[in-house]
Amino acid sequence: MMKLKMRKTLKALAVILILLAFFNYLGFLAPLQNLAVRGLEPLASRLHLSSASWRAYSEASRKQADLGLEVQNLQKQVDDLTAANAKLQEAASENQKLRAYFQFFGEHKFNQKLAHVVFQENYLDASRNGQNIIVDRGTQDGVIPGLAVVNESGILVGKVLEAKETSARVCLLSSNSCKFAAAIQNQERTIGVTEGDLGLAIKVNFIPLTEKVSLEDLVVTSGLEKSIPVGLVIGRVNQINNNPNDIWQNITLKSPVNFDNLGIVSILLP
Amino acid sequence: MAKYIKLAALGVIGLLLLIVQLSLVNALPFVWRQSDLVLVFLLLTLFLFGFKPAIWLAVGLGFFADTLDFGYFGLQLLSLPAVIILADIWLVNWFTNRSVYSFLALTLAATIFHNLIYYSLLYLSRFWDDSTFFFFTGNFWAGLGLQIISNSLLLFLFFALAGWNSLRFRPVFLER
Repeated sequence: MMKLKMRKTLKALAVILILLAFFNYLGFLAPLQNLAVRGLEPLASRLHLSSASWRAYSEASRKQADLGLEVQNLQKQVDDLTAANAKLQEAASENQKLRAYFQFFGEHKFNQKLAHVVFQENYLDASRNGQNIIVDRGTQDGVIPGLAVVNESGILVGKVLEAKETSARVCLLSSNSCKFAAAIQNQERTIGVTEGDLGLAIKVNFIPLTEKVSLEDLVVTSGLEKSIPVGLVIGRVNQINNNPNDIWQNITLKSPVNFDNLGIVSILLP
Repeated sequence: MAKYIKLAALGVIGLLLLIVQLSLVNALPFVWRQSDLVLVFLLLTLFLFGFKPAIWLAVGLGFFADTLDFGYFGLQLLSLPAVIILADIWLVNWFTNRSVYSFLALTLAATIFHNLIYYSLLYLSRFWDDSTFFFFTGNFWAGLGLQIISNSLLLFLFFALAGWNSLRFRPVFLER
């Protein structure tokens, strides 16, 4: 009797699963799915923010010992940046005059869309850190795959991989699946490709040994990718390990973005 | 009528746990984010309320999980009911001694099989993307080990707390 009941249940289950898959393929379930996503997103974004606080707290506890040294380094960086900023302002002023003279476009005005981070993926077979995030903007807001995602300072965070109607999947700069065409701001303006390294660092690939790259060189987007504006900051060179027998240099960047603490991001629309 | 109200209430709890899993738990540091709240909830439902509520909840939660996810539709919709069916077979045929120890063993087996089924389907869906087979990925086994431990701890905690509040759970907890 029990076996007969179980068989009936399993048959009903199989029919329902097939119908669900069929209706999903035809798109009939899309309104229900969008409603579910829209309804759950406010709660999800709040929960994600609280986990970011938890991670920030545990990170801060671990790093307390190094804070003193880091403050000293940061002070030196501030001083260097102040000097560089003064030079840049001069250059910017000159640039503005030249642009006006040659009738170039004014400042780049990006078309942006703010998005909350609502979910984080957690695939066991992916790297431990830098897993993809899900944001609450989708094709209804003009989001398409390949768009750049930045933080509040305009620094590159990642790229849109896929977009549904009301949500999009974004890979983080530090994840292996996230690659960008980059340019190093050295004398030769060397072009390379950035790629995440197990969620912990960012590598720059395809830089020949003959190119001169220095520590602290700024790396930005090269503009060679469709939909990714030129000049978005990716990070600074913090490690160069060259082997004379290699073809390419082994360069690592450090991004100023804290990928563990992303609550709101901005998607740069075309 | 009471049956449907109970199922609806369990559905709401399951959905909330799914959201907590995706938005809060998944964003925690590696060691803390390996619990599978949805699987634990379904196993508890199976254990406490029987096969039918558990299987329908598995279908519903699998549907919502696939809706919110960006993978191929049907991965959780297939893997969650499949593991509940397996768990029910084990519960009826092997883990008949309804103690917390047999339930922990059931959780261990269910966690392993759920991940094997889910990641096999995921690998098949990404077959043409040149991805590494999960079986040979160190992160998978490390994460699976942590998930087994955290799922077991969650269940142990549930039974410990439930045992204080209700005599109903005590024979299940301390059957000698």
